[in-house]
This record gives sequence, structure tokens and C-alpha cells, in this order.
Amino acid sequence: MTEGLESSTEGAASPKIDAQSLEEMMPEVYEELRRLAANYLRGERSEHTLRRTALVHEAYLRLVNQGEVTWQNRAHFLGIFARIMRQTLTNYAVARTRQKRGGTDPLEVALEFYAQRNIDVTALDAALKDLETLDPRQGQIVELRFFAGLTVAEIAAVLEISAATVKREWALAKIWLRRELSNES
Amino acid sequence: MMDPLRWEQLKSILADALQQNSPAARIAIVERSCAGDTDLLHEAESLLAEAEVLLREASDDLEACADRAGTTIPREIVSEAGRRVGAYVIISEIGRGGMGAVYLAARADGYFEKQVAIKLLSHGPDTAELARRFRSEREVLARLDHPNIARLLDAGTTGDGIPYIVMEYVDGMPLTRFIEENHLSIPARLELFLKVCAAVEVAHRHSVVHRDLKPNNILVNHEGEAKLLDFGIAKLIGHDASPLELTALGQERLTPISASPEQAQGELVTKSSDIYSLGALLYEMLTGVRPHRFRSRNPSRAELINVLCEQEPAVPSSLAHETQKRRRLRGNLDAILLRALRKDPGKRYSSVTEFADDIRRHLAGDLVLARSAGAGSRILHRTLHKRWAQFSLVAIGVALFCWGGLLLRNTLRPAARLQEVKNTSSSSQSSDVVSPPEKSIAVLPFVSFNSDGDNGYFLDGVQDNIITDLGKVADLKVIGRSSVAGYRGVTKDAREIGRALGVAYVLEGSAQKSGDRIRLNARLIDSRTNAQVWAQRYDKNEGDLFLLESELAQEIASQLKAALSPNEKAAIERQPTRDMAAYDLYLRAREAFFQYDCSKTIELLEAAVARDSRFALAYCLLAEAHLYTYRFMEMPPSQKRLAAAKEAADTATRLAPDLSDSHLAQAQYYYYGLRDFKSAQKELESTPFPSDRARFLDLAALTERRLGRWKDSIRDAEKAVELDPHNPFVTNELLESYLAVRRFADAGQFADRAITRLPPKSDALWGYKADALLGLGRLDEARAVLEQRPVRTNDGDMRRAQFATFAKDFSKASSIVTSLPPEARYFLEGMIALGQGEEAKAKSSFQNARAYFEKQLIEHPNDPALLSALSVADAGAGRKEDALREARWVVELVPVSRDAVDGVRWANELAQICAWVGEGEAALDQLAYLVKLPGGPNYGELRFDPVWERIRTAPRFQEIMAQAARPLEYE
Repeated sequence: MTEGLESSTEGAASPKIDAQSLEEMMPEVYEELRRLAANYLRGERSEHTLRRTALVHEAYLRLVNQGEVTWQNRAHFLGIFARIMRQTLTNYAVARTRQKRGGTDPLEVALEFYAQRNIDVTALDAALKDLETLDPRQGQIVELRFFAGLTVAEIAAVLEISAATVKREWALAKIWLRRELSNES
Repeated sequence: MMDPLRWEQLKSILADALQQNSPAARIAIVERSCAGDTDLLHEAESLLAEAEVLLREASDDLEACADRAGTTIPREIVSEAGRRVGAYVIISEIGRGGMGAVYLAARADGYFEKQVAIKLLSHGPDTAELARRFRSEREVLARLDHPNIARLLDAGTTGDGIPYIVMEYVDGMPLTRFIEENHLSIPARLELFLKVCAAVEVAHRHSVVHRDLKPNNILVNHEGEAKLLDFGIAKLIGHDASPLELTALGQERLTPISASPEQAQGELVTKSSDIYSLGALLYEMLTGVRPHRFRSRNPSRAELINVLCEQEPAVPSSLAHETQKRRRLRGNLDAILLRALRKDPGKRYSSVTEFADDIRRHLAGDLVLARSAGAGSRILHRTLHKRWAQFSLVAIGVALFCWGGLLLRNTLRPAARLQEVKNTSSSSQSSDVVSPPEKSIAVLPFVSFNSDGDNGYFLDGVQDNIITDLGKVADLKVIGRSSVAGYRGVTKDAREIGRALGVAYVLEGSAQKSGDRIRLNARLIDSRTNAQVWAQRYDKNEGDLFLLESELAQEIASQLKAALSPNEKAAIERQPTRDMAAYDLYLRAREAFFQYDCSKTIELLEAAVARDSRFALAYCLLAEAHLYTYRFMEMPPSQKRLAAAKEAADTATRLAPDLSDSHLAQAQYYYYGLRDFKSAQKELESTPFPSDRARFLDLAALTERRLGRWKDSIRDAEKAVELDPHNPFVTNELLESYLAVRRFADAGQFADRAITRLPPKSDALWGYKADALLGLGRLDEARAVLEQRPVRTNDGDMRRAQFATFAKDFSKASSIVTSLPPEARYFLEGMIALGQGEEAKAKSSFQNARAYFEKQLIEHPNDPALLSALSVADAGAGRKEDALREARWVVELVPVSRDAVDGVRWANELAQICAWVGEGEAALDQLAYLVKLPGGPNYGELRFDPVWERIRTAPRFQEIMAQAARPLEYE
């Protein structure tokens, strides 16, 4: 963990960092990312949001430079980002079922969109957790595709695997998730 | 229950099934694959059922949600973040344009917090071409150092072949938006615009045309400071590509708001096009709209030409809705804008300065040029008048200075005079840019009329004397000897030579000495136009050689309109000797000296002064040759040699006390002979105007550095480089100074420049470049640079081995040291063994080194370098007390107060020895003192050198290291 950039760019094995450990390690970066995720979910794209994006990336690079996080590649960053998008949406959905908030909250719009397409984010999150235990890479593909909105080609580039593989894994994951979600209901 | 293996199996079965075209075929595959495993079959069937629904239905909910996320989340966050580009990591996208996207990025090693902007070009020149152009442009771009210009820092190609350009990052908003959001008043807008003009002026002065000035290329940062982006990019991307041609390559079209009529027509883009674009910019800043409107965002070329070349823009004041604003624009500003936006480049302002001056006149309430009737001729008249006035002032100033120098020699403070001499030497600011100072010349080597070979020293002598004679004219910039020597026998275009040396004129010719006749043809060529401006043929007696040379020199001075004082005239006409045979010997001696053959030089000069015992110049060169022998060639240096040098210098001074060469010889005696830098400095200060300014400045720079006056030294060295750009010594000395004061970026850039300029013989330059990178902590890059060296010397290989040790690449280091001489090998082998933890082997290596240096010291006791080496060897061999005693002795022998260069070097060594033998606190005290001094420890050495291993984790060491990473304040 204390190694600098030199040794780690070579693809040395490195501890995995996910949203939870990020939150413990650097609460302000986590918080910033979370707010950013919320901004995106609201469909906001102001200059303010752009600046915040830059700040988050910068904070992340600072983590790398301080040796807090071992540099891997941008899959690493995007993985954290997708995970936080997922948490933000799921947490909001849970909170919403507990105490019905008014339709004024902008996250409503996102959830409304999912609801219209019969997707319950909470259930999806649970199903995805199961899939992750079966096949972590497939879980990551779903997370990047569904929550971070990356295209198949982008995922292929980020994870450094072929587009055909991503396409196949995503298609099979969708089938599996559909079955899990319909079993649920 | 499902487990990962089973899921893998299921995925494979389903994937196979889904390749089939009919539901029946799919189920058949599933049944066949799961034969005998009912659980598996059950799972597969239920999943296939979902797949069938998905195939039947037109909608895919999960896909739709994913697509929504893709459109909601901007590409900035996913696009290129985290991607490595050269030494940088992309942080986020800033914007997109016709040439590609721009990203915010930071150095990948996090060493410098400075952020940069990186342009990834969607199309552009290929790898090698971009790199080549950047190298050739770098020098010019480096000169665009102006607070209102965002600097171009680097260019290259990513691993997957995408060309990129690295620029200074400006956090700000487009100029036009800034002024709207802040509701700036018209005068405030004009002031801001003047800042933009100032930046463009600087660029134009260096012959860089922007070609694409528009609001989006001018950002205003939080301090309200305007910054011009993309200067020099047009040239990098395509030499003659205008923005319009760039768009023709496809991709997004650039909005042609800033294009000038001539750009639209694909004609040559000049400074005048920038003036037009500045006009268009100011138009928009004042009226809120652009001077021209197009039917669509992407007008066709025909529409573009029609609108830009045929339609006149609306009078600015007519666009203002409020009466008050209309009144403010009407008159001066209307006229200024329309003048800048004239279709005919010849009718616009002739320069950005003129444009800016007119705005200043308006702000001051004066009559603007743009409004005067018959503006053209009036302006011309005024400009001429102004130029003439300036010229006369300069001429009077020069005359006063020369007379003053003569009359007030004993009253004027020497230091002040030295300063004046130096100032006049830097009449130009640029050497390698396209517009050189008017009064500048390079005298090329003369060629022989026929191929008779023994004439070379004579030809060089003639060239040399003309250089020296012209050098006596303070008003002229004359390129030093070593920088023109390379053009011997080379047929090159005068334009090219003028550009390379930064001069407006080139003198070339041919000469011949046969019997007692001297024939000489000379041609003066304007290097900007390649036109011959003057030519002359001489045919004289040998005895009239000096007359001929001084006539020639004065003729050239007058051709270049250089003011010549009576004093300078007398200096030029002065004859070094009346004995032509003695002079012939002197010329041959010079030739030998320039080939570093000091003993032959001395022999020839002794013969020359035997013929003419009053030949002062010969004594000067004799002193110099003795001093070089004493300092660099003799082991041990002999006192007899030093005495001979002193005698020659004193004789020269006695014969010609006013000759600048006599003073230079004395200064050299103090510098090289006695290491008495204060006396050398005094001698230089009392030198009358030096005829060989490059040599004078070189010695001044060396002396000042030893006295701890680094700023003065660097300034003088920079001037010496300008006058003699191809002289490797001057170049190396300046590089050493940059490194010592931690100006690593400057050192790196300058080394790059020198590498392209100097013949590839110089291995040292690559070493300096690597040192600069090490200073920044970029060890890997430094090592890579050392691998690229075209010529290999032991010095370079020692550095290579040392850096390999720093990187803990011991096998590489070991393989390099085998080819090194013993004294270097012992040390490096010892360090390598230490690094590998082989203590016994290390000890034996250092003991070998000890034996070697102890033997040397018997012959040269008190030699600081040998003593210091012995101290290192003792430390390695475990003789702690000896090591410390020797290191302290060296520091006492050469204290920093007496020699700011070597003194600091030995003090560094002492700190290393202390750290090594376990005197951590003493080492840290020493380092804390040294880190504030030029030549002190740098960041890379502290970070990587294994010698600091024992104190590296100490908080104080970490503080010192952080301090070493910051710029150094020096005097």
C-alpha cells in the first residue's frame, strides 16, 4: 500500500479498494463522489458539476500519489464511481419506501424511470450481490454498464477484455437478473 | 444451490443455445448439454425461458436503464480519466474542439502539484513529425514566456499513437463571457484587451503568429488575468494550416469567427491576420456580436469567402441599443475597429503595438491615428519621425557612453561600467528566432581561392580579426568564433544561417595569400532576404593586411548603420604588430590553441615575440595557453608554469594597458591560476570595452558564480550563449548553473536546445539533461535519457551506473562498471555491493579505492578532489574517524565563502559522509544549511541516493527533501 507509482504501474497485485473502504479512508473524497453521483442522477450538468468532477478525479489521484491507494488503471476509479452510483440509488430507494417523500426530490426522476420499466433498484442490488458471489467480473460489468452507463466498448477498453466477451457476459447477466427479479415479485 | 462452477457451466450452455435461430433448436441444445443432470437442466430451462421472453419482446428494460445512465452521466467522468499520457494522468475533460478534446491532467508521479491541460489530437501529424516540429519550435515557444500567454510545455504521442500537446492549465472562462458576467465597463474592457495585445506583441516579436485568436482561446482566470491559449499550436499541427484547412480534414468545423479575409482565401497567414482577429475580438467585446454573421454555424467555403471578403461589418456604434453606449463607441472606437478589420492587410494597423497604442491614445483622450484624415501617409510620417527620434537618441547615448568611458575612466565606478558593458552586449533578446536585431552579423569562415591547403590558418586569422574588430563596436551583435567555425566549407543558405545564429547579416568571402600579395573578396548578405547588400574586392600588399581588415570592418559597421565612436574606430585601426612574419606565427599559434595544442601554441608564440617583443596580443595568448596547461593539462601543476603565465600577462599589461585582452589575461591568471576570484572580478571590472564579448562574459559568469552571485552569473552566461551559441563550454557552464539553482525545467529545455544545436560530440549535454530530470525526481526518465546518448564517455557511463544504483537496478549497474577506469569502478562496485547487502565485497572494493587514492595523495597532498575521494573510500571501508577528518579537512581547505561552487560541493560530500558513518544529526545540520544554497542537495539525490539510507526516515530529512523539491531562492 505504501508503494509509489513506479512499482505499481507494472500491474503488481494490489489490494482491492471499493466504495466502503474509500469511505473509511477518505471520507471527503467519498462524500464528494457521492454528491457527484447524485448530481448525475438528477441530470444536472452545470459548470459546477464539471468542476466537481475534476475535484473528485483530483482527490482520487491524490490518494494514489500519497500511496493510500495503489494505482491500477481507470477501471479502478470507474469501479468506485459505479459502486457509489449504485449505493446512492439503492440507499435512496430504501429511504423512499420507509418514509414516502414527496416527488420534489430529483432522485425521484431516476427511480421513476426505473419503475416504469419494472426495475426495482433494491431488488436489483440484492440480485447483483448474488451474481457477484458467483462471478465477480460479470458483476463488475453489470455495475459499470447499469450504474455508470458505460457502453460495451468502453467497458471492454476499461477492463482490457474483448468487446465480444463483455457483450456475452452482459447478455447472460441480463437473463439471470431478469429471472431473479421476476422470482422476487 | 448455485456455485461459481455451475454458473460457468450454465453460461456456456446458454451461450451455445442462444446462437441457434429457433426456439426448438435452442431447447434442443440445452437438453443435450444437460443430459443426466436434472438440476442443471431445470436451471438452464428457466434461464432459457427468460431469454425467450427477451428475444420476443421488443423492449429490454435493463438495457433501457443502462442507456439512460449513459446519457445522464456526462462523458467527462468516463472518457479518459486516469489515462496516462506521457508523464501525466488525465483528470477530466475540459472541452472539445475541432482538433480534439482537451483534458485537465496532473503529473503522474504527483511530484509537482501543477496541473496542465492536454490536447489529444483527433488528427494531426504523425508521431515523428510532431516530435520533430515540437523540437524545432520549442526554442521559440520557450521564449513566449509572458504572464498572458499559456505556455506550451510538451508534445508527444501516446502509446497507441495519438498525438498530444501539453499546455499550461488555465482555470478560467472565455473572455467574452467574463466581461458579460462581470458587467465590465468599456474602459475596463479596453484595458483587458490591451493585455491580450501585449501577449500577442510578444509572440509577434518572436515571429510567432497565433492564426486562431478568438474568445474561446482567451481565458480569464480568477485573478482577472487574461491568458491566451494555443499559441504556436497551429505551427505544430501543420506548418501552413489555417483553421479553415484544419477543418477541411474533417471532424467538427471550427467557427470561422476569427478568420481573416486572407485566411478564408487560403492565402499566407501573417501577423496582419492576427491583427484582424484581434479586431474581431474587440468588436465582439464591445458590441456583444461578431463582425460578420453567417447563415449557418458551418458555412460553406464559398459563403465564408463572400462574407469575409465582400461584406463590410456594421459600424460598431450602430449596434448599441443604449444611447450612452452608442455615444461611447462612436468616433474613436468605431474608427479603431474598422481600421483593424480592413480587408486589405496593408490598410490595417501595421503592428499590434500600433493598434494597442491607438487604444491607449483613446483611453488618454488623445486623437487616434485611425481617425486622422489620410491616415495612411500621416501614420507613415509619424512612425518614421518617431523611429528617427529614437534612433538619434540611441546614437547620442552611445556616443556619450564612449566619450564618457574615455574621459571618466578613473572616476566612473568600475562595477557600474562593467554593468554597462554587459547591458550593451544584450542588445537583442533572441538568437534563434526569425526576426533578429538589425545590427547583428555573423562572419563566416573565408574560403580559399584555390585548393592550396596551407592557407587555413591565414583564412581563419582574417575571419578572426574581422570578428574581433567588429566586436569592438558596442552597437553591434557579433557572433563568437566557435559558433561560426562550424560553417567552414558548408554551403548553406544565408537565410538558414541567419536564422540559426539569430543575425540579420552574414559576411562571407574568399581570400588568398600568395607571396606578399593578399587578395580578398567579401560579400555582405541580408539573411532575411538572402540579398547581397554590399561586396568588395581587395588586392593589397601583405603589409597592409591590418589596414585591409580595419577598412573592411568599418565598411561593414557603416553598412549596418552601427554608430562607431572615435574610440572604437581607433581600437579597430590599431595594429597588433608591424612584423608580418610575427603575425603569421601568431595566427598559426591561434589555430593550434583552438585545437587544444597548448605546447605548440606556446612554441609558436615564443617565436612570434622573439621577432616583435612589443606584440601585446601574442603575450595575452601566451598567458592563456600557459594557464590552460597549468589548470587542465599538467599533473601536477607546476609553479614554474604559473610564473610563466604571470610574466606573459604582466608583459601584455605593460605594453598595452588599455587593451581589453590584457585585462582578460590578468583575470584569467587570477581565475585559473590562483583561484582568487575576487581579484579576477576586480580585473574584469576594470576592463575597457572588451573586443571579444563572448569570452569576456564567459569568464565574468564563471567568476560571479564562484563568488556566489548566481543571478549575475546566469545572466552573463545567457548572454555569452547568445553571442556564441555553438560554444560547448559556455553552454555547459550555463547548464551547470541552472542545475545548481534548481531551475531544472530550464536546464532540461536548454539541454534539449543545445543537443539539437551542437554537434553530437557532446556527451555532457545528455548527462545534464539526465541531471535535470533527476533533480525533479524523475529517475526513470533520467535513466532513459542516458541510454539515448549517441556518444559514450566514461563520465556518462559513471552517471549511468550511479543512476542504476539509485534505481536499485544492480545487475545493470554491475554490467556498466566493468568498462570503467579503476578509480571510478572501485567506488561504484562498492556502492552496488552495499545496495545488495554484500558487506564484505563492498568493504574490499572501498579498500581498493583507498589504496589507489592514498597513493595519488602522496604526489598531490591537499588536492581537494583526491582528499574527498579518500574520505568516501574510508567511509566505505569502515574507517569512520578517518573519513570524517578528511571530509572536514576538504571543507576547511575550500570554504563556501571563498568558492561558492567547489565549496558547496565539498560541503555536500561532508554531509554524505556524516550520514553514511552514522553521524545522522551532523548530516542533517549540514543538509539543512546546504539545501538553501545553489549547488546544494537536490530532491532526486536525496530521494534515491542510498547514501542517505540511515537517515531517510527522519522527519527532518523529509522536511529537507520537501524543501529541495521547491524552487530555490538565490542571489
